[in-house]
Amino acid sequence: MKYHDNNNSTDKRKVLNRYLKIGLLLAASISLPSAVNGSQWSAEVGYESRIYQHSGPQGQAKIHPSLRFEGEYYKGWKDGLESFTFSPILVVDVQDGERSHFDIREFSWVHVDDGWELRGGIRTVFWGVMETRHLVDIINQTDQVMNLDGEDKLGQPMINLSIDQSWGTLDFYLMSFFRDRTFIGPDGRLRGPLVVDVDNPKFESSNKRSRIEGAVRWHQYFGDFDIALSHFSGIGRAPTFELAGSVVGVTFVPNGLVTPVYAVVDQTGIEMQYMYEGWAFKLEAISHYGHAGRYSATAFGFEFTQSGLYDTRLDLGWVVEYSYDGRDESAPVGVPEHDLTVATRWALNDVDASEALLGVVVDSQSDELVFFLEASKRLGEYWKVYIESRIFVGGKPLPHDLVSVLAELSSPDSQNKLGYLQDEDFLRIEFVRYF
Amino acid sequence: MSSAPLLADAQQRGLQIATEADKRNDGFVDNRANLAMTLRNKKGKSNTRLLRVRTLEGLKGSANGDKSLMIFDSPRDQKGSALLTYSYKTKPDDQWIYLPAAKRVKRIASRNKSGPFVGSEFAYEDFNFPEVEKYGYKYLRDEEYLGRDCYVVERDPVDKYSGYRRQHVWLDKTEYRIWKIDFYDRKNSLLKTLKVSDYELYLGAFWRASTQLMNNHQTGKSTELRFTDFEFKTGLKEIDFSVNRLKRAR
Repeated sequence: MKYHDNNNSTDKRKVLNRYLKIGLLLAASISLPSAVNGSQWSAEVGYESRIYQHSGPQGQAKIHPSLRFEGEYYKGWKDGLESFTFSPILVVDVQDGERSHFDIREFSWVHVDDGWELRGGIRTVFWGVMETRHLVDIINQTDQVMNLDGEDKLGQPMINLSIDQSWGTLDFYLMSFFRDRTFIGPDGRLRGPLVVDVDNPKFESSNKRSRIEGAVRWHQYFGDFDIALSHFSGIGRAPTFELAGSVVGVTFVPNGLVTPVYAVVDQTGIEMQYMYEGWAFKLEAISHYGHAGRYSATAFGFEFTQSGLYDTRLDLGWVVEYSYDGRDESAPVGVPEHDLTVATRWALNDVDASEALLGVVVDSQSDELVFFLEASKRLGEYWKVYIESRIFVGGKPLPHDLVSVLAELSSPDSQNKLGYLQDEDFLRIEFVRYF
Repeated sequence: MSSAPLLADAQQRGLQIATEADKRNDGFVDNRANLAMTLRNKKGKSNTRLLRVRTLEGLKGSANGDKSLMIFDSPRDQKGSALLTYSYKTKPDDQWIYLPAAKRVKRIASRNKSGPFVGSEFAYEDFNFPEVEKYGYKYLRDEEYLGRDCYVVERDPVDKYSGYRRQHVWLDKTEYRIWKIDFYDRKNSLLKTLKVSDYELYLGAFWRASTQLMNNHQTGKSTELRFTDFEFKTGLKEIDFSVNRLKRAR
């Protein structure tokens, strides 16, 4: 479902051309008029440019353009009681061969019956209530190359029985064909100092990717209170990493790569949300058990919206969320172990649906800050522009040569978790055309 | 002469008219319609959004009101998103929105219903068939409006987070159909006027208007709703309005 390319720069042009051809074919097929009889195509093409303030620590370029083709075919029968959905995505990145990829987000059939549904195929499922950190969301693998927020997911093959009754919604999932997490390649940005060796992952499970996985989730709401309990048993979506290299004589010689290691895990999660007037109070927590033992993590906070601010059409929303990870200082790089996010969401409520989210992430035990901006606006009927920026403050950039990086990683500074991102301040602009 | 008995009479009469109007709509069971919503700015520039609307009538004698589902076909970037509303007689409505890009259903805080609906001159709270209990009433006068004998009734939202202080409603005396509503904002100045037209009778009992035009007097903008393809008693069930099903609304 995902085809990696060797990031051999001589091959890059060939690979790009191939991807572009597929993309243009996709675009040509989606501009066909909608078929009759309950079936329809829709699609979007995004052109994005990421502009970094500095060159990358390993000499990566400052400007990273890419194209994204995303389509959806839907066919329904019996007033939607039977349906089929197919959504492919193709990304062509000029700089990073690992970011150029194809995936099938959805290739699924759904049967709706009285009080239950059966869904089979490749699907994308979201669990959770929080805005900044998605702890309980574990069904789909993260398509990490897409964006730093990790909200893009790879399609997961599954069978899902969903029972919808007065006592709530109960979902059973049976899954297999594990999807490896995507990682930025050597020429890409917003990655750790060592490139992830995506072609040689290690698995704790002897069946590797064909291990059978199971999950169950119950969701119910009582008036203004929502609750969900879930359990997942299978291959953890987030790998840990080992230094890759070879043994020469008695010495281990690192090759500058890290190997992703996928463990077998059990994760129990809870989600809660309470709505009170303009407030939404939220909590997610997990208890995670794997080969390294058990840990728990939680994220909680609120969203408060003031509608029609000062008698205008403007909505101002406040998003305040705190994340805590029980692994504390030993939490892997990129995991917020005690971080506070404060953000404001501005919605103009105009014809163009102009909105912006502006905020800061504060590490409560170090001086590290991340400022972020996400804004969007419709441009006429078929276009939309998205702007995103992140600025990393307060960390020390990591050294650039392999030996010093390895030394740094062997005794990581827990107060400098974002050290690897200090040169990565960026502005992303994406124009999306909808079909 | 004291005005208190007169006020009580006017309130009584206002409630009677609202209750009768509500009764005339009893028994529609469910309906479906297509909706084209056209937003116009002061310069006359327009944008049209296409939606499909489904409504399920609340059970008689229950505290629950109607359930409704709005599915967006355009603007293109919102295609596939859907809004589910459970209305209640005496408490704020529950609302959920499905965001297809994130595959995520989000609950909407009850206080924010006074905000504009997708950039239009309609607020969320203007949309659903309002339950009688959501307002206090006062009969104002009889008046001829567009050649029809009408009652003019004032209604005051019970919800303290409503965007309105009061509304004046014109209903015809024969069929109790709403023809016009003046909306007064929290500061009691005239904010918007809704004009309803092109009523048609369905199943020999239910009047539905094809056109609703909302003019905002303070901004000069307007929004027109055009409903087509009304269908009644289409076999919609409670489960079709479940939060779980929202993800698959088409």
